[in-house]
Amino acid sequence: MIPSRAAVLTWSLLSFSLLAMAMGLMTGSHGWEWGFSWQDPIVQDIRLPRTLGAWLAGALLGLSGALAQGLFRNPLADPYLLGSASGASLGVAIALTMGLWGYAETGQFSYAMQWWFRLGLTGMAFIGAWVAVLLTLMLARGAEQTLRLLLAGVVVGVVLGAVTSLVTLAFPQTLPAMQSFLLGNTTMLSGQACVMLAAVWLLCLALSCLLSPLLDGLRLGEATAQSLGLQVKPLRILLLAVMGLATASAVAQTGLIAFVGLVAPHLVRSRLQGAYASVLILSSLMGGVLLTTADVLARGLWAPHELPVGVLTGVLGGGYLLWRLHSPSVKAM
Amino acid sequence: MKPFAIETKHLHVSMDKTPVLHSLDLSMEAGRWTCVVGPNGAGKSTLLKALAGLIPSEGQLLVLGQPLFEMSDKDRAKRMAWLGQQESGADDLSVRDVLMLGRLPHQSLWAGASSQDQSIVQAWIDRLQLGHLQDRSLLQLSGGERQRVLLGRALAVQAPILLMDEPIANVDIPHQSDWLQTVKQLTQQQTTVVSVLHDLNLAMRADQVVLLHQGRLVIQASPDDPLLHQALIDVFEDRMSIQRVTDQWVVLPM
Repeated sequence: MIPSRAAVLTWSLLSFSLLAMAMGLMTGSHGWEWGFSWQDPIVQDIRLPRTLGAWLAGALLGLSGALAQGLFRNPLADPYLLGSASGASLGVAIALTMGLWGYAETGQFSYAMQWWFRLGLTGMAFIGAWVAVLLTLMLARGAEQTLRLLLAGVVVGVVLGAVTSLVTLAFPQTLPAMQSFLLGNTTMLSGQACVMLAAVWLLCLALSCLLSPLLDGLRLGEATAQSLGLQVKPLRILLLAVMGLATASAVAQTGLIAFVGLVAPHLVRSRLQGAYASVLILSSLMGGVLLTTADVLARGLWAPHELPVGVLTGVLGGGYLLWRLHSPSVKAM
Repeated sequence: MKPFAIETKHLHVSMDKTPVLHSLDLSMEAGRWTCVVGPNGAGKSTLLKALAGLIPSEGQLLVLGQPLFEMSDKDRAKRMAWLGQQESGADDLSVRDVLMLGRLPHQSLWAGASSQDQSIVQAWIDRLQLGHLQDRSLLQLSGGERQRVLLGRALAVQAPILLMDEPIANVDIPHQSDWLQTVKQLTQQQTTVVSVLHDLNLAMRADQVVLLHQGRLVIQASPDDPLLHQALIDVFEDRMSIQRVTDQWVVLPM
């Protein structure tokens, strides 16, 4: 029996995931090493959560990108389309500013303040991303009209981006931390973050696959989807919520990672036709492979210095899209 | 007389608070082909969407004897298949996958395609002679082939009523002939077909013609009815004549 293309792609991506994760465990502050020990506390406490967290964040972004491209019937849609990136940035800028105020008042970072600071960055990024998505939905008066939704997302992104710039200009001490967030960063990933990301990933993947018939029906337009008995309005809101949760969770933990959510579904759809459920699962696996590989390269290419992982994904993702633009099969995008 | 598959009384549709269809009373017999015609902007596509329950409407609308708005979305989809005007997208889907979309009304969210869905899709692939195309993507097909696949998608629903909006726009004569043949076979098997057509020559091959003008019903009649001929000539501003050639009515522009 000849294995289907989807099965071959699934096994390939799972194998690449394991390979990239093994490379992640073997990559330290001095670059790539051959072999690692599970007993090594550096492997247990730093490399493992970082590698696993990078894979999970990439998987969430890949899934979110596939959802965005299916929902908006647009191959250029990405997870940040509804303003979640700008919202998360503003959340982080506010958290950093509040931390600075606390420091100015007490003159030192207490343990409690450090804890709040760490929790606050992730939490505020998450809240910021969600507030932005809700604001977009409110401005678009729901999710019925795709064009209105896209325009509202652009408006929210631009306005919140401008407010973030204003906050960082008013408090220039926040600039280095903000820059780290904006360029994407996997160094802060902890074991707890991995558990949270894994739970969100499983939930989002299950819900997306369950609701994927809507994405199949939408391929021929909203009226056709409706005529096929699909409840377009409530299912669309649910899928947008799943997309918002996946994006906000990933961005809150790793900052703004460019292009993974845009490129992962493209790579999958250039290899696979068929039901959207398999596109969602494979885009998620592809996102995990892409971000883990980019993280390994970011750590190893210029060791002992580390490249911002978001810069690397931006360069690689942009290069890929440029190549697709000039490839003969560009019409299929 | 056959029972009615679709009946409307005082059907009224507004778009952005502007009335588009005004108090339409229509009766479409089961197992017959009814064609909706009229000039641009007459409200033909709006009528079809209203009949399919895709846009809100006021008045009475009975489908197979039951009020449409009492049906669940799934029930409505199982009773009425709809083929939209130049459906676009899904370019990366294979022909087989496009036909499988037609089985969505019969599937729950938790279950995928059953073996019965597979065999029904295969039967339509065979019947529409799409076998040699089934693994190709929509992007690789010609306009006529694409239209045949989209028709297959609507037919795979296996609904007793089929609504089609301009199903043969931009399709060449052989494909038009195939389409007419398919419609004839469907009505012989008691499927009710309602189509919107721009081409009056093809419309005159239907069992019944519904003529709309400015959102109002002008006449619903058989193509042989002289009153229909006169109404068509009036609505199209005396710019055509209708003549009998062999056993068919032919509409000629003047």
